Amino acid sequence: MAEKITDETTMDRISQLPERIIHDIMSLLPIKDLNRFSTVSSRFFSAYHSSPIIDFDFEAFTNQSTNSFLGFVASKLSRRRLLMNNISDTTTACNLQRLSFVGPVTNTNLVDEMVSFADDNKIKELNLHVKSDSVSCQLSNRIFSFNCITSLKIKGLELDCEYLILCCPSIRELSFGHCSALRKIELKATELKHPPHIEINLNNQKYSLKYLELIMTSRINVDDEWFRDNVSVCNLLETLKLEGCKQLKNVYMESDNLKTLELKNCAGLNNVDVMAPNLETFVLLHGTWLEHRRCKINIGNSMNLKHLKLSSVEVTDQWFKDNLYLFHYLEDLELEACNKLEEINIYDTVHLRSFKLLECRDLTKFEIDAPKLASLVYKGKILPSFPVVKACWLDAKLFFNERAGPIDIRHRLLFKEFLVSFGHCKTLFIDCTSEELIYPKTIREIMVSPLYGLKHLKEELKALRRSIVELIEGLLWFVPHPETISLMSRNSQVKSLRFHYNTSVKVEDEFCCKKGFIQCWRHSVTDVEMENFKDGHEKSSVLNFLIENTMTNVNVICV
Amino acid sequence: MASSTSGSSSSSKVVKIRSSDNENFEVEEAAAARSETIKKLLEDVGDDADVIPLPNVDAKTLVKVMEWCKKHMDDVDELNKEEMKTWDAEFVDMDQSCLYNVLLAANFLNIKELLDQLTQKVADMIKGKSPEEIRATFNIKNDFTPEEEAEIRKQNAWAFE
Repeated sequence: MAEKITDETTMDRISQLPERIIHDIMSLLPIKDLNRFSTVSSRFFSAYHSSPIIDFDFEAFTNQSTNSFLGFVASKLSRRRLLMNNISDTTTACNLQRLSFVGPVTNTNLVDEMVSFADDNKIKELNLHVKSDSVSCQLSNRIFSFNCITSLKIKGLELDCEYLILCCPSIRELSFGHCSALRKIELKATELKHPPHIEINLNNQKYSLKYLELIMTSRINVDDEWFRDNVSVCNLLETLKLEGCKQLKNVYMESDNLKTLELKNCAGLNNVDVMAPNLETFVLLHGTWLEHRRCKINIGNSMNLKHLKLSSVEVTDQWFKDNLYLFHYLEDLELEACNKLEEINIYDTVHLRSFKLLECRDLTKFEIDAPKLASLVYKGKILPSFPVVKACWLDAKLFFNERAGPIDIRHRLLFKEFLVSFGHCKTLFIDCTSEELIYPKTIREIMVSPLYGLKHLKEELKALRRSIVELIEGLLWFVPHPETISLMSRNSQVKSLRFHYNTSVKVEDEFCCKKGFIQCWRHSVTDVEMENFKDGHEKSSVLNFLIENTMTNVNVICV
Repeated sequence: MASSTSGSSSSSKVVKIRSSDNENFEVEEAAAARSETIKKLLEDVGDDADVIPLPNVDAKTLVKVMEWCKKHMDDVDELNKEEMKTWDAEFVDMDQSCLYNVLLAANFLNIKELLDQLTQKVADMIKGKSPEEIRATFNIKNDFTPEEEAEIRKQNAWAFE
């Protein structure tokens, strides 16, 4: 018994441990102890050179010169390469877990070598922390598309680019610190395969990062805590774009530098609180397929706002009223599927140039007075109250929902009243069924034409069930004195009619113009240019219509 | 102590395990389940498990391992953390042959926390020692030729200062 005990105590048991456990033990040793341990016997020497973890830490090289440290790193890496080349089995290469370097460098070569080494050996965790005051070192971009990498920590290196697109499919942790050139990060998580959770540490970046864009898939997410700790603290951020961050509930930003904030498809948002006086662009967009949520938006502090876009957001009339007058410099406003809005009044927006009002379900009326408004797009139903639009040089586009019921006289009346508001436009584009545009002759005779002052009308030709002459006749009732009428269709060229008038012709008290304020086209037209009408019946029928309906000797030119 | 175990009632389930030298043990399931290997086996065989054989672990080692498992059965609250730390430190302070046996058992039984404690213990035994001292501590034979050793020493010279 006594002999056995002696036997066991003098046995070398540590050398018999499985390689994996030896590697575990090695991973717990400081670099100096690790190197001593590796020289104890060939068993540990080879175990050291097959260890999945490679750590270089200059701090542990007490009293050593930078050159001897760098020489050591270079020789270890080349020995490791040699070893890897000797192993024909490629699966062994995947066993490398971590490469970590903390220390100074004298030139870029070593950093390049470490990046190549990490790539060749499919390293999972890469930690490069360069501590050099004198040498600025550039990091190659290809690091951001490494396939196997799960953790990437970069500190003290200059990135090759100011604009980083990260598409490592397995990445879970990303950290940048003191990377001076970095101004913009775009995280394309849509290209990432299956990371369950991503952690990005931008803490050290808060003094330099200016652009951050995160596009998330459903499987990866950022939450309130992450946002607070990582994004809210980035004071220099100028552009922040988040997409698909479904767990994010509260967005809080307080910054003088923030210029653009875009939140897209962040379905869980409850609160957006932005104190950014220099904010110029604010976009809050929920996919229309998502359940509408009430989301509190506080951007009232942003007096310099130029672009505002809200989509599928439940803003109320009151919110709109309380906020809009604050945005004195607003140039561009887009409201889409804001179904809580019933009445919109926009006044005193002297800078507003573009207004889009799309598919707001419960809207009954809108009024807009904007002298510089150049573009207006409306999409939706015919509103029960006619809109008020005061703008001089407007290019308006109206897309009307397809009507389910029959086109009765009430509808004809509402439609006409709606269009009256656009009579002073420069150009008007109407997209609706041609049936709605062809008013029966009996109605035309009793109603006043809605678009007297309009010069240019554009119409989208869709499923025309009547003849083209009937359509043109219908349109000429809407626009009695046009310069051009354009008929666009998807698969052929734009058919157009260009009218030239002799303005000196006196208004005769003709029947057709009895109710009008100015004469209709029939009386003073001298020339009509027809463009892109099909030869044959189409062309001849339009030609005949024009000649038969004019009071003058019209000259029709077919181009 | 009594309060910390009040949660586990007397009716808690017991499982039977058998060591490589055919000794049977009855262990509380919650303790045995600290081992991922045993836990997996229990899930696979279900309730009709008779005795779970552990062919790689002898009785002496198994007693040691189960002692650890029993201690770590319940979640540790803040108050007991210090106490547990002291206990763990005393636990890993065992003779080398025992240490390796428990280490291998923890590896086989897949008890991560125990494995971590033991590898840390071995690492602590290596730290601060010269290669000669490490060899002496663990009875490792130096199998390098004098030339090889000189070369390796040269490469790693910084580590010996």
